[in-house]
Amino acid sequence: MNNEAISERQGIILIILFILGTTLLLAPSGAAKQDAWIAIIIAYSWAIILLLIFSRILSLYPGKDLFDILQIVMGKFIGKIISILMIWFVFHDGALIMRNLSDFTNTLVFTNTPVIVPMAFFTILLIWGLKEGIEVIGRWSEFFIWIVILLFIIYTTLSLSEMDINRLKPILNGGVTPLLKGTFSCFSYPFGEIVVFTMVFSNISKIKNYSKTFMVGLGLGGLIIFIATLCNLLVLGSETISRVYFPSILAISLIHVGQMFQRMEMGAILVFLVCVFVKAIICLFAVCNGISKVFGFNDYRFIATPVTLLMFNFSTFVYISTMEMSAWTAIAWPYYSFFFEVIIPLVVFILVEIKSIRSATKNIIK
Amino acid sequence: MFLLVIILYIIIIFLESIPLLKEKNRGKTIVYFSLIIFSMIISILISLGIQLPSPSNLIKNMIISIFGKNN
Repeated sequence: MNNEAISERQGIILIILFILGTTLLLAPSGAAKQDAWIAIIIAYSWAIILLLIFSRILSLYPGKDLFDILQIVMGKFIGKIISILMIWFVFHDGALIMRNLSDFTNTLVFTNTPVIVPMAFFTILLIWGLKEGIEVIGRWSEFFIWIVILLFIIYTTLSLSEMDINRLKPILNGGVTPLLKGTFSCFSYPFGEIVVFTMVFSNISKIKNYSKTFMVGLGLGGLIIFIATLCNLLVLGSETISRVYFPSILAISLIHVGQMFQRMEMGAILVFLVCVFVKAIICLFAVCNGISKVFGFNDYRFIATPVTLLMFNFSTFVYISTMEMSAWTAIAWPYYSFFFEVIIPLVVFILVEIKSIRSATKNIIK
Repeated sequence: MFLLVIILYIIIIFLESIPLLKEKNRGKTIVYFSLIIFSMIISILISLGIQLPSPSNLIKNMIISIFGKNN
């Protein structure tokens, strides 16, 4: 396990696919109505500060991930307890992702199949990917990002004829409060979830400059989400988006250019599957890594199967229905994830800086 | 139906535990078996149709009690 490494480029591509995750399909800043595009720009500027904090924490302890740093900075016992909290957060996040995928498959793609059948195949793929290791996932994603970007450009260009800029007006109709709510929810999902990457980038020896990896990945991922949200708003309008569970599929099904380019949702489903696969496997990788570090092993592959099966089981009962999931995502998720994505890394950052200042003054005194 | 779940889990345990037991690492064996038996119990309960308590209700109530209803 110690000789696997992903390069900077693969790290950037993994971050882009992770951010795209489930957000290409759902609309994260629905509270801001037609100002969702402004909300994304503001959330992106907040996320830059957060990611600079992450890269600073990681670069002060090269080769170690968040679980090691927590145990170094806070002592073994408290470090292990906070590691367990972070593992629970990432596990819950992964169960949400699988629940999203199963709802999507059940609602739009295979309506008459019991939902366990496609999810069982997905689970087998996840276990296989985990056992092969993150290097294989990095190389795989380097190939599939081009398919994602190509299909994204094709869909954006083809839907230009359906756009109507009057759907963006009136700007700032409800005042600043809905905009701030939308910004907050867009900041915690998807941008804040990059905290999962601090638990993943441990034994990756080829990344020398963490901040460049994070910044470029965030920039490109944020740009794609901005364009996607803008397209959704221009094609559908904010009223329709708040009524539909999966706005992007609806926007793509409206494309009607000549005889050939109609009903192209299959490509969108392919893009969605690639992004969700990367997001789920990175979350699973973080959970397996965390569990093996808490118990003191240095191998994460042996618990890949039970953890994936647990996450799959958990995703079946974590919500009773799709409506409850939408309500929970709108009400509780921004506040709940803010604690894990911002507050815990901030505390770690302050402690790490105090420790480095103290050791720097000790060296000067010597 | 839940017989299928049990058979599936037994197949998985057989396939995976043979290289694990060859390594003779007690800690790994204990963690692996406890996790997979926990997962098997939850799978059996789900396939029997029992409604398990979901933590999302607890978290939602906690957040509403801290931040108020119309946040």
